[in-house]
Amino acid sequence: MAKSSVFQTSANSSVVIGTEVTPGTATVAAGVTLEMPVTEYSFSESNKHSLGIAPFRSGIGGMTQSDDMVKWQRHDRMHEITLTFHATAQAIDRICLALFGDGTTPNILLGSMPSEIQSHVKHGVANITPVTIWFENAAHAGLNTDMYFTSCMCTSFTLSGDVASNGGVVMGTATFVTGYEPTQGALTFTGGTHTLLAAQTTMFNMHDMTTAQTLDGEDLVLYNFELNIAREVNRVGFDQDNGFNPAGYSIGGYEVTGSLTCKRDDESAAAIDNTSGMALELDTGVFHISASKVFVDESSINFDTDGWKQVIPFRCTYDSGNTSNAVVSIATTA
Amino acid sequence: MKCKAKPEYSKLSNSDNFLALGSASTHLWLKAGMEVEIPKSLLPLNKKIKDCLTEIKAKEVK
Repeated sequence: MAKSSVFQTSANSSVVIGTEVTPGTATVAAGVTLEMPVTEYSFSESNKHSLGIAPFRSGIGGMTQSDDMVKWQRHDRMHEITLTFHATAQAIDRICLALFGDGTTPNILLGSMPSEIQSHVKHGVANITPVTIWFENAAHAGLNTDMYFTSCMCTSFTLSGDVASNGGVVMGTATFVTGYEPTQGALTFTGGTHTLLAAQTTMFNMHDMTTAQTLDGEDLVLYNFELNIAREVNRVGFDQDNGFNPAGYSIGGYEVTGSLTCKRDDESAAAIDNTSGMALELDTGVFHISASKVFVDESSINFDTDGWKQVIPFRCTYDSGNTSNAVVSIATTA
Repeated sequence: MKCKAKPEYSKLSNSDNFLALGSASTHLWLKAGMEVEIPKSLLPLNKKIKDCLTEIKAKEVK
């Protein structure tokens, strides 16, 4: 044995999301992929597991643990992947597609979602919902050996923008989970449709918010915002003979929450006094977040030296008149 | 292009309907019997899906 010279760094690794055809099978080389404009990312290590430990026996002479009493527990493992990225049109569309099946602008989460393919994800049964997430050069072997996670399900997507941070670029954070063990090896994407960073030229930016930003029709001087769409994803079953692969996933309900921080003034006062659902519009003229039934969830004040701010946490719902009504819409083109 | 689903739309498999095109909202609205503006990025539609839709023409203003 000798000390290894291989290593991994984030600068060496681009990150790609690939569309799958069949849960349990990674995106094929000639598939559809998107290179994500990531700024940060993290993922669970391979061989993830917890240790199952038997209780101690009572009595003198056996109050220790043998190797029969401690086991790797893999039947319930879920690897987690988190990507933070510039909110380009393609990246937003792709994450919305993974989270609620709408990847064509305007991406709309309806009261009647999820659709059947979003809620019935089974191993080996055709379904385009799960994705492969590929990290270039991320394997233990280092350069030229990749690491990818198969059949990842999106559990959460956050868009957050601050006029004073990141050059105003709105950042996206998406969290995925998978019950499948990651693969360390080469996966090359050739043929097919591959959208690279160079093609992602339209970016959500707070400084472009020249159109009115309104809550309940009141014009807000917006400093920052956050919008989060989240749902629970759990694995179902395990196949002990095949790497403890899951039989499928169970899906929880969508919660849409967020917050606004704006100048505290007469407009913001009128925006937080409504006890029924009201409309939210955040619009750059290209990127446009809208929700029709937003409930303020206990507003507060930031006593900042550059003027007091109104902090408005909120929850989005659909209009109960029809389940076909939208909870939230995220448009990425004018 | 504004459309409404014909009964045949419900018989399309999930690999042929708007779910496969990445527009679950369009799919669910059509299944709910609504008139839907098809997202521009999905046009032109393939024949299989187009045959299951009725285009709603805008009324002429005289």
